[in-house]
Amino acid sequence: MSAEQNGQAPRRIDTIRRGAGFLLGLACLLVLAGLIGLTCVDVVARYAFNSPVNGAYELTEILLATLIFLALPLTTAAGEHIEVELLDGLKSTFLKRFGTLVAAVCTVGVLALIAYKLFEHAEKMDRRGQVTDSLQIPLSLIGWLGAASFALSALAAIVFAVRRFREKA
Amino acid sequence: MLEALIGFIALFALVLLRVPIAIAMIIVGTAGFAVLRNWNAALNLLGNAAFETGLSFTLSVIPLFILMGNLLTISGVSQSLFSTAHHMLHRMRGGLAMAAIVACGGFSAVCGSSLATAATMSKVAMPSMRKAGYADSLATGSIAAGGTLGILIPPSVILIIYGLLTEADIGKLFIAGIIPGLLGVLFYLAAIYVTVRLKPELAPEASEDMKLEKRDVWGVAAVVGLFAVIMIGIYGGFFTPTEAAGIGAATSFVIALVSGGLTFEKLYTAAINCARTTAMIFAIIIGAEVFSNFISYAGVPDALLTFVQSLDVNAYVVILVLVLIYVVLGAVLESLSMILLTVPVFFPLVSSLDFGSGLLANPEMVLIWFGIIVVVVTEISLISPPIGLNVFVLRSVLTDVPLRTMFAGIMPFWLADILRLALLIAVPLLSLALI
Repeated sequence: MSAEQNGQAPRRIDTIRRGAGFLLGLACLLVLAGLIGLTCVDVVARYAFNSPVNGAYELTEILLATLIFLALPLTTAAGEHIEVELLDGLKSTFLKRFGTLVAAVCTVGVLALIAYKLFEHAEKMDRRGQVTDSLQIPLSLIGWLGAASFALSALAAIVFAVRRFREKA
Repeated sequence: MLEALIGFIALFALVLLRVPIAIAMIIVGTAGFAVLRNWNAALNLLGNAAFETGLSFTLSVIPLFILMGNLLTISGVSQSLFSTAHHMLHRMRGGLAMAAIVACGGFSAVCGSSLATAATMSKVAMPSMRKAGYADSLATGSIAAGGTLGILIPPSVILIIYGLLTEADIGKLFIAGIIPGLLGVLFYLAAIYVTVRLKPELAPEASEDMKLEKRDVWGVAAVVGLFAVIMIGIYGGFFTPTEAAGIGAATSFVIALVSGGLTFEKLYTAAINCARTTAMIFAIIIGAEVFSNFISYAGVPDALLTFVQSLDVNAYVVILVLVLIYVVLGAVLESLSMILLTVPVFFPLVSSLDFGSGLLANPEMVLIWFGIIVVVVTEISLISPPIGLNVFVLRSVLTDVPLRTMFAGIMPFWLADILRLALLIAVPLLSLALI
């Protein structure tokens, strides 16, 4: 099918995908900047003013988790999860396609399952009102971010698998 | 034990079908644990691993050091390192290849990844070597081998992960990597020296001197200064590895800014690549955690420990056997997953070994020494056929050089690595002297 036959819809999806990717990337950039800023300020404050930043340890952990959850869909969409490409040497297209299919089903299934488990986990933490020790940040927020991240990654894995099938065809 | 064996076979089968390694480990680990206990517990464990892994203070060094390397790549210090090294070595036959090794070593001092080091240096060193008439085999071999130094000369992502798995001190692991890393540079230089002696046709007699510019001197000074701040900071206990990484990333941002090459687009790309690599590493860590949970629950580390103790052999023999296992595994497994899969199984055994009195009487020292050995074996696996990743990174940059040529060019360096590995095993002091 050519691009004209497909009409506007796929192009709009492409725009949304690219826009979402850009925003996620921008968020990653900000989180990284925050992580660097926090460690530097903490060191300076400790040595120059003898007063380390309150909750810096905790905040570092939260920023790291946030960074990973923001970036996971991007990693998945780019197909950057490490795999061993021993099958590439094979002549049989059937085996290759079989491998691609198995890999896609496994990846999407696992990512979706983790999304579900994280959602459950976040709900539980929300009900219990669990917060971090020094800054009182609700842990459920991180759980929900994680659930959203893995769900989005499952979608990204589908998109990636479709693209790989087209390339092979 | 049977469950664990089936688990390993299932893992290899999935990986062969091109299931991402992280996903394969999660599937086998979760299913295996479910068989041994129940599904509810297994799934909860998976959810917890996915939630908790990101919330780790120690691991925050990983994105910071990766970003530092990415920013320094933009700043062009890799070119400065290469030009300066070449300026000093251009009178030798094979001088450009030697300069590539030295520059790789220098870049490794500010970059924690072997693949990034190889990719960066290939863009800098390969054009010069081609222009001077170097054989592709020698040129690519020296870059691929030099790149492996990235994970040994601190900072090192692999050493951080080893520290995480064994609870060995990351600062001490970094310091332990310095001398073996410098030895690596020397051995690679010797490999080039011997190679061009035996086969003078591989490299021209001497090459034209490149003019050293002011910015090159500044570039080298920046790398040396940054490395010094990080190592003195960690060594002297002024700051933790995470803080060193944060300061390093901030400084490299300034260096990139001053160099004039930094645009928003490049900054964005550096950050997003760093974030994606971090997420990739974490996916593997989550997988390894789930998988090694299953393996531990199946009793593999304990069984291994009991088995080896019942053999009553010399501790060095055990280490040699482990190294052999790593060399074989390294040929078929990707390096990060190899370490995450094997270290949790092996390290209880290693730290229980009795080396008698002396340096290795302290189990902490044994673990640090073993960490360096594991990293050197991993370096070897990065350039070993059939799936030496560094070679494939070069291949993706230099599409016109056949893989066969690259692996042929690797041979002298591979031999140098084996010699260095033997030396590091025989003389633990080389790894432990600075601690």
